Amino acid sequence: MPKVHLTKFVCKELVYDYLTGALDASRREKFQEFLNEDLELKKKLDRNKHALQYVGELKKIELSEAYQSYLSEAHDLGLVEDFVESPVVSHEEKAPQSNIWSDFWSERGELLKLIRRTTEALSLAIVVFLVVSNLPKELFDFESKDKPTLLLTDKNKVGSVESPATTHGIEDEDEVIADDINEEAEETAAQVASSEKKETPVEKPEKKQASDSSSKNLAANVASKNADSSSSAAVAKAEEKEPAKKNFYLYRSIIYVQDLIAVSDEFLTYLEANGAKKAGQVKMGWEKNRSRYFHFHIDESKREEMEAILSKYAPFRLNRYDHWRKTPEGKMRAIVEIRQKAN
Amino acid sequence: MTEAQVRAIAVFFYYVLPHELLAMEATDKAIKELKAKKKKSEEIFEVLLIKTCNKIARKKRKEYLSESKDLAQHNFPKAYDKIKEPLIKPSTLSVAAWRQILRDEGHESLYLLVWAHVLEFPIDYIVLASECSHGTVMHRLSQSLNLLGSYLQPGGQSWGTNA
Repeated sequence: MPKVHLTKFVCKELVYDYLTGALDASRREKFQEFLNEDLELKKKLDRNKHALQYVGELKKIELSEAYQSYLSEAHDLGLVEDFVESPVVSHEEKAPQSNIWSDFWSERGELLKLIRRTTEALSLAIVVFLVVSNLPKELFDFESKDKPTLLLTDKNKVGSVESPATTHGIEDEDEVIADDINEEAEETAAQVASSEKKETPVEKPEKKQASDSSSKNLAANVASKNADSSSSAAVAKAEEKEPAKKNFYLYRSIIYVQDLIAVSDEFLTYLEANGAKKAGQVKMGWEKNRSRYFHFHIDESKREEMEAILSKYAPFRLNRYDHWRKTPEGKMRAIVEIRQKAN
Repeated sequence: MTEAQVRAIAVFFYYVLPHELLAMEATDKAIKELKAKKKKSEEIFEVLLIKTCNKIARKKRKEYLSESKDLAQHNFPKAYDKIKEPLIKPSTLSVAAWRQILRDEGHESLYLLVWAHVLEFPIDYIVLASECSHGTVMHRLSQSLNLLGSYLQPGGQSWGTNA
């Protein structure tokens, strides 16, 4: 056993440890040696013993039944059993209690937490919805960002329309519609450029209205064409049911020629001689890159003649596509692009 | 919260506060706070209990002293009127010496004495709640026990008889 050196001062400090049994054997032995010699230390030890005995009495206190029931009711504690005699709070008490009331309240707490979280989530969703619904639609119309504003120039000339006929010569209608949009975008760009030079009397509200309706009608056309391709019988039935709905067409084609200028000049001369009028925003024969662009109205009877003129230079046929834009009776709207053939 | 824990809270305040009504009020407050904290805190509940009770005891004692020890001005809940005797003492016990030392000293090391020797909470929990070293807690316990002993010695306050 290692030899322990204790002074009188240290022994006085160790009285509490001695009483609570916290001293090891060697220190305890040494402490007892001092205790026999030092009267003051003995008095201190007696005082502390006395105090410990007193504290031992203090712990015998218990709650009255009235107070116990008050606490139980006031705090929903469910203290239905008698209080345990030993006031020791051990680790085992941390184990789940088999108290019905405790379980009930803990379950209710979870339910309330769930309700609170659900309410928060719903509130957040409502706020997000309100914010999003109040934002301008243009922010979410990603497709129309690339689209130009479509101008309806022949609106006043609308009359009765030709009877619907079957569409022929269309390989990919969606692609053609997309092309049409691009063409019109180019026209608009050209118009913007030309409007700097001279003002065109076009009403802005009409433009906007036409733009909005164009995107809607394009979507409607795509949907209707898909339906057509899926079942022709269904289409026939639909036409019977909706006789009031009339179709309008756009004739268009692209031709590649060796001599761009000569062919396009010839075609332009023919158009001017036969009463064709520009339908878009650019003049007939508008030059772009290595091509010339013709967007015009002409009598429907001239279709075959036009095909004959251009067929001299390359195989050419005007393909007909459904289009939302109304066409005057007896007239046809066409877009012809004459492109320089690559050598 | 278990019966033993509720009892511990009530007994603690009974011994560390100078008046029964104040102790009852503090007990109500502590139970409310602990019920709320229990869900949020990941601390050992006994440690949380000691911390919370110590804090409330300090606050109540301060309130009591600032009110010039006049509890007539203090509005206690009416339900307290029905409870004539909240805690039942053994017939042999007198708390006069304890009350005297509480009035004279009011030292917080007496709180430690209650937790460790009256309520017999594990020392480790008391150390954690006190946020000081084990040695410091033991030293304070030793001091407070010595102080109590000095009050109980012949010539000081008597014990073992009714106050």
